[in-house]
Amino acid sequence: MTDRSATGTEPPPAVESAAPPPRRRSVTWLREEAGVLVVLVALVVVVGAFQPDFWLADNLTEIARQSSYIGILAIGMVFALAMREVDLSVGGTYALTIVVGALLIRDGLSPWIAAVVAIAIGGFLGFLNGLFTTYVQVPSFIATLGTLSLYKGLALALSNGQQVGGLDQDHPFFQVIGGTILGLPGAVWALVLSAALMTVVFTRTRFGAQIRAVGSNPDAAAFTGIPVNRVRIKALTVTGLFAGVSGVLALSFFVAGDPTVGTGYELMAIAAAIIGGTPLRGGTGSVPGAVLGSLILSVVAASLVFFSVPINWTTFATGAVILLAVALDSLLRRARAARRRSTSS
Amino acid sequence: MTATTGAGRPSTGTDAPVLSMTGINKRFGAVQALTDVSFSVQAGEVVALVGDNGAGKSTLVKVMSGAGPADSGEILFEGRPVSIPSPSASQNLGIATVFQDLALCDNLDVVGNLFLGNEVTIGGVALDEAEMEKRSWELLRTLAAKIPSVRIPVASLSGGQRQTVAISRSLLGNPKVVILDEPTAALGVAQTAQVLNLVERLRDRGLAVVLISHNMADVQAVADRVLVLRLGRNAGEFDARAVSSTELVAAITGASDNVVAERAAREHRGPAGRHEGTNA
Repeated sequence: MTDRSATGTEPPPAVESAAPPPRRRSVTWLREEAGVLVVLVALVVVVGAFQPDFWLADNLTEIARQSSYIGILAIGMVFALAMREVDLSVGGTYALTIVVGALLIRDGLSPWIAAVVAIAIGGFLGFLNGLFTTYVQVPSFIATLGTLSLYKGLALALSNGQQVGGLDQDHPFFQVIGGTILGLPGAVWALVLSAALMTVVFTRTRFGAQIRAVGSNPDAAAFTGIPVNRVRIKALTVTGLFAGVSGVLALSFFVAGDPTVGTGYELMAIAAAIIGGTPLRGGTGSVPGAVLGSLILSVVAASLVFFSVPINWTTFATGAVILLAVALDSLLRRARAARRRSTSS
Repeated sequence: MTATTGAGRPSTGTDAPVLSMTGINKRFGAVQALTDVSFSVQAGEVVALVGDNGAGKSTLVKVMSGAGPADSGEILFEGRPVSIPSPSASQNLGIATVFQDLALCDNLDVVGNLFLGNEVTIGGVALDEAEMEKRSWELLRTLAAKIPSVRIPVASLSGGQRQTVAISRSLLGNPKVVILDEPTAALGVAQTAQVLNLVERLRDRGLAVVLISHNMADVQAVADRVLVLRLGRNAGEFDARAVSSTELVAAITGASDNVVAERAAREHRGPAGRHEGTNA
């Protein structure tokens, strides 16, 4: 007879800790973004201390507006990065939706309908990226590098390489969306609403949970019945959709379709998402963090102007800030993980 | 030898197995991985599946779990003939499999992993976090699992705790059969005891448990019956309480004149009457 005393004929041990009342996870999410928020506030305070005009309401509003376009691209990018994918074509999608929207409006379509069509086109372009990545099985990095040129080239071809103008700037679409609502630019309101909606989608819905699962361990996700390919396509569609939203907002403000805009925006969007706490390894992400990341990039760009830094150095400075932010974030996360390990052991 | 059930009583033979397989064959190209293999497990019973590398254990597990359907043979589930063409078909029948690589998402918390792919929602869209957390605690408590918090990422759990989460997750679908593929591999002594405790809890709940293991001590600690596979064929079936390590090693290797078997026999005859499990 085998001795079984070691394996559970004695009373079962109690669970290490009794079940606490379920707590809202938003507390955890806010704690994750606290570091980025501190960096943003510190930047604004420090720059303002040297350049008091920086704190003027008009300046801060303008910084917020400028950050909205990258911010909305970054919101979409979170969904791709959280799944270990990357969409390098968002700059091209952004340019193409601006041009298509402008052409449709110029040809007599209602700007409101044109905006919806342009956003839908953005979603469709993201969907195409998803198909390439999943069914043709080309890594998203390569696939979207190709579609970046494709979409950019299409924007240039459709507009003959020229700005699409002649739009009715007195139309309510341009006045409301491109203007200010309750003292804030329409683009800022769009950013806030998008961030609120997509934070809920990412953290509180089955779709968000599936994205995090696929990004964390695709094999585990597939084994539990999550349709991995479908989730990938949906996520990249969301990324494209928000590139479309960003393009429409830019069109509403500039009242013209410039095919050359959006160059380098994909890298800015990725940088904003990473600064905000969405790691390239996937499995997690932060929509509010991405918004804060885009604000940090805009504050840096604006502060360089205030300090009269030569224009040729701005890209260098932006790169330095990105590296600093990512390094700091990595250090903080490692410290937090070490602290968690020591408390759980 | 008399088969025994989970309660340690001899089987009357009237208890129909929850899962039984007869004449199972599986070929991979020129390699015949399984030849005419038979297997059965009853409710409230732990059946250990042992064998050397390449014996066909993993292949048989894949047949049971739907990951690699059999080429031929009959499978009965609760007395009904069934086919298991896919993992989802296996899960729908009530067969849960915990693979060796655990299939956990490291950066998701315990709740996220337990409900992976089966999230509890409000209106089919919004996650019901409170309900999932409550059910996680209830499940872990019934299994007497030692998890410090259900809101920490599984990456920060020990090997035994991770295995506990993986096994617990398999129970959420209320399965009738749980297949554990090498659950104690690469675990320390305390963590192994924790997992073996969990296996006993599963049996106490009336589940049929299939345990794949290389560790004879683990097998003899929790199994009721031991099924030996060798070169893709049945090589013996033993009562875990009555069989010695020597007999098991002999069945696994196909011979008794090998160093491992000799050493096991010597230890069995040792002055203290010590009977240690052998890693095969």
